[in-house]
Amino acid sequence: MIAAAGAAGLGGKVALIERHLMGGDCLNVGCVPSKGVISASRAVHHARNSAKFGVVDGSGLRFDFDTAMERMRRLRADISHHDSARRFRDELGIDVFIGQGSFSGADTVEVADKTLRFKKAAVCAGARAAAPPIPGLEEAGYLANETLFSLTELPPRMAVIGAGPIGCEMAQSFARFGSRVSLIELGPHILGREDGDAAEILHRAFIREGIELQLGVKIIGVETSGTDKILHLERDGKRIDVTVDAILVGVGRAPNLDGLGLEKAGIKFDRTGVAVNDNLQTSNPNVYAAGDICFPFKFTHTADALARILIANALFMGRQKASPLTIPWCTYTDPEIAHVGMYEVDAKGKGIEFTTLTVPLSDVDRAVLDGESEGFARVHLRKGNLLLVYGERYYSAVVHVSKKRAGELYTRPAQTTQEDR
Amino acid sequence: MTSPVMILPDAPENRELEENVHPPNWVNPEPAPCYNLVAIGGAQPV
Ligand SMILES: Cc1cc2nc3c(=O)[nH]c(=O)nc-3n(C[C@H](O)[C@H](O)[C@H](O)COP(=O)(O)OP(=O)(O)OC[C@H]3O[C@@H](n4cnc5c(N)ncnc54)[C@H](O)[C@@H]3O)c2cc1C
Repeated sequence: MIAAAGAAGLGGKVALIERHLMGGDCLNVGCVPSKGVISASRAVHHARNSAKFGVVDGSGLRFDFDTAMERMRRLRADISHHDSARRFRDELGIDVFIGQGSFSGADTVEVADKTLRFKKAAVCAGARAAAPPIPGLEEAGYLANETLFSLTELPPRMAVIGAGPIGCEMAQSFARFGSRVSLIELGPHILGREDGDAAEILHRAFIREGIELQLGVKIIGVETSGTDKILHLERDGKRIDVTVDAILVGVGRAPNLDGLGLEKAGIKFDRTGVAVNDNLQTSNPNVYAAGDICFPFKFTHTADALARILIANALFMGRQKASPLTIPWCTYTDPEIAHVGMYEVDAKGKGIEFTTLTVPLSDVDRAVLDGESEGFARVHLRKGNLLLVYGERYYSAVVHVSKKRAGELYTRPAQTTQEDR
Repeated sequence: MTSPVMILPDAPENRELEENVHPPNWVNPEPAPCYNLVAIGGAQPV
C-alpha cells in the first residue's frame, strides 16, 4: 500500500491488488486489534491494583469482555477509512483490484480473470501465523492472530503456545481479563531473543499475575475430550497435562507465498520468503519485495521503511539499501520491553569491546513515585566513544529499556543510535 | 463484482470495517495497458 501510494503520488500509473483485507495484518489482525486488547487489559489491571493509591473498590470490580472487544472493533473500524479501497481509488488515483494476485509471466500478473502488464512490480504479500506440526492440534482446533480478535466469549482456560512477543502480549492480556492462562514455550525463557534481565523482570510479573509458565517443554500432542483440549507436554522426561478451553498459537510467522506464481516470473524464494538483495530487488530485476514476505524483522514500521526504499529503487533508479536501517522494536507487555541496536551477545559475537551502563528505575524518583520502579534503562557503548547524554549520537549503542511506557521512552535513543554493519 | 468476506463477529462495526477494507460490491477496474507499478498486498497505510 505504501509502495502503491508513494508511486501514485509521484505520478505513476499504479495498480494495487489485495486478496483479503486492505490494511493487511496490522490493521485487521495485528498491531491495531492487539493494542486495543492490551489497553483494555491494562485498564482492568490498574483498576484492580489501585487501592494503594487510595482508589477504593467498594462495589466489587467486574470486567466485561464483550464491551472491551466491541471497543477494540469500533476503534479499528473508525481508523480503517484510512486504508479503504475507495480512498485509494478516489483520492490517490490507484487502480484497486480485489482478488488473488498471481504472476503469469515475467511482466504480467493475473487477478480476477484480468491480466495486468507492468514495468515494475512490488511483492508485499506479508506473512501469517506459522502452524506448528503438533499431533492433534489441527483436530482440536486453535486460535491464531487471524481468529483471536473475533472472540466474543472469554475462554475460561487458555493455553498460549510460544512465548515470543505476540504470545507474551496476549497471554498477559487474557490473564488480566480473567482467563487461566498457561504459557507454553520450548525454550528455557520467555522472550528468548531479548536481554535476559529484561525478560526476567517480565517473567516475575507473569508469575505474580498468575500466569502458569511451562518453559523448556516439548508438546507431544493435543487430545480433545468433550470441549476440553488437553495438551500433553514433556519436560526432562516427565509428562505434564494442561487442560484448556482454547489454544492460541504464536510460534512465528510464515510468508504468504501460496498462489503468488513466483516461479512463472522467475522470482526465487525459499521457506523464509522471497529472496531479495540489499536493494530489495528479487531475482527478476523488474520485481521488488518489501515487508514480512522478505525481511526477517517483521514490524509495520520496518515494512513501511522498506516500501519507501522499494519505490526509490524500482521507480527512480535509486540504489538505496535495506541493511543500514536501524530497527527498533517494543514488546507491549507490562512492563514494556523496548530495544534498539545490537544485543550484548551480538556485540560480543562481533568482537566489539563495549561498556554497559544500566540505570535501575528504582534510582529514578519519578519512576518510584509512579509505582514503576521495577525495570531499567541500559546502554551498551562501544569503548572509546563519548556518550553524549541526550546529545546527538549513541554510537554503536544498544538501548534497552524495561518500563511501562518503554515504547515511548526509547524513541529518542532510537533516532540517534548508529549500528556497525 | 468481487466475492464478499465476512469479518467475525457479524457486528455493525465489523460491517463498517468490511465496507472499507473489502467492499462487498467492489467492481475491479479495467486494467490500464501497462502499469508503472503493480503492488501485490494492500497493507501499510501512509
Ligand atoms: C498480533 C500481532 C501484533 C503485531 N503488533 C505489531 C506492533 O505492535 N508493531 C509493529 O510494528 N508490528 C506489529 N506486528 C507486525 C505487523 O503486523 C507486520 O509486520 C506488518 O503488518 C507487515 O506488513 P506487510 O505489508 O509486509 O504484510 P501484511 O500486513 O501481512 O499484508 C500483506 C497483504 O497481502 C495480501 N496478500 C497476500 N498474498 C496475496 C496475493 N497473492 N494477492 C493479493 N494479496 C495478497 C494479504 O491479504 C495482506 O493483506 C504485529 C503482528 C501481529 C500478528
